[in-house]
Amino acid sequence: MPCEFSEHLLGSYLDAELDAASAARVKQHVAACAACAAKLEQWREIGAAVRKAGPAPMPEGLAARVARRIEQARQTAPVPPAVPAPAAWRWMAVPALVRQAAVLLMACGLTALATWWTVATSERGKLVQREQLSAHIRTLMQEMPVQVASADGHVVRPWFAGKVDVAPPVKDLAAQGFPLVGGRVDYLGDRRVAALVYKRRLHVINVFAWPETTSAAPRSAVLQGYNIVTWSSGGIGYSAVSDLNGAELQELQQLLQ
Amino acid sequence: MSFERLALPHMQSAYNLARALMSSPTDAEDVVQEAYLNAFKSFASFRGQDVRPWLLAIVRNAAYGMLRARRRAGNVVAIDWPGRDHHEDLPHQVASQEATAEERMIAAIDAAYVWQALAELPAPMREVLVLRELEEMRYQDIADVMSLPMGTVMSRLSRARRELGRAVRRLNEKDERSAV
Repeated sequence: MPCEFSEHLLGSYLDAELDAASAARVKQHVAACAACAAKLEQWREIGAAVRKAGPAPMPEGLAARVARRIEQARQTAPVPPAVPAPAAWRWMAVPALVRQAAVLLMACGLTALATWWTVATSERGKLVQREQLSAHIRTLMQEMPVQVASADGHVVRPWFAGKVDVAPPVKDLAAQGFPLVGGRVDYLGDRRVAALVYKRRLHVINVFAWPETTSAAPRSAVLQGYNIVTWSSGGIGYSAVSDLNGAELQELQQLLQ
Repeated sequence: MSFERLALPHMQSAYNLARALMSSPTDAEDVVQEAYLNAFKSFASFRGQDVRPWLLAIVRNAAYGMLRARRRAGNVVAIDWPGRDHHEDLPHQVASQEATAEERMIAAIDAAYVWQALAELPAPMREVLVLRELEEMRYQDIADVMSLPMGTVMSRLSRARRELGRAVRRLNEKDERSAV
């Protein structure tokens, strides 16, 4: 008699992806169920066999050939800028003193940035809106404005995890007349942002979301005949862009807040 | 940090994935070369923490791009696997020494069949197994590489394991029949 126990759970247990409580639950079940114990053992064995055979033997000189081609590309193409990477991998490699100096420098830098920020915000706001509008219009020109097509928030939101800085809460508002089409990753203001796509009758609405520390009440703007509503709440900045009329776009804003 | 210093150390991983998707070592090499060039060109937009998932996603795109082009050209895509030719070298029992009777029965599935069976799986099953078992990546990273939601990665991995187990058993039985 085959056991109905979830293979997802069994697999996640094998791959050490479960929290302690769930792992204990699986362990308990496996101890009592011969079928699942056998399955687990077989999976373990398959994994071990794949690992045992090891990495595929690389053709000789591949690394050198790749390095040469990159070097050629570097010389013929315009040099891509070095990455201004804030990432953790660099952090671990630098000595402590340098690290402390970096922290100080960063603090100075942040102060300067904050000053600049307040000065430049109004100008920047316009620029950002322009970018958002461009992104919106780009999606109208595509056949498929989403990368993940689903009206289920529990599908769309996890899809964003790891792809963008912040995955916004996703609600399907079909009952209120704003069916969710899906989501995609877009590139705005020099970073990846989550974009949710809703529909209202035949109008497409893009809702962009990015991390935003300050809360702000909704502001409406009109740009080239398109309506844009911008707000932030819960650590996330939002911007809804559409050719839908302003009143209905604000209605969506209230539903999302 | 230069692109080379970040990305070149992951070439074995890149090649493993390419080899899982392409039918020949030559194609796998082409995929790796193309992927590294593409990665180099788009390095400026790399914002992540970990270069490997980013790089492997590019490898995967390059591989599927080449497979699509082949399919359009009407060529049949063969499925093969590194290690297939020398699977005889594999140890035949992987079970631990204090294996129970139950475990021993399952361990009778010859590890050598695993490679043959892998070659019979469709590419999406093979790649998820390679990323998980050979590269030992977390589900989240696999999801990033394959541009899939985590739930789909889990289903695909379950299915890949199930199918591989079935294929191994089938090969095993066929072999035993022919031996008798």
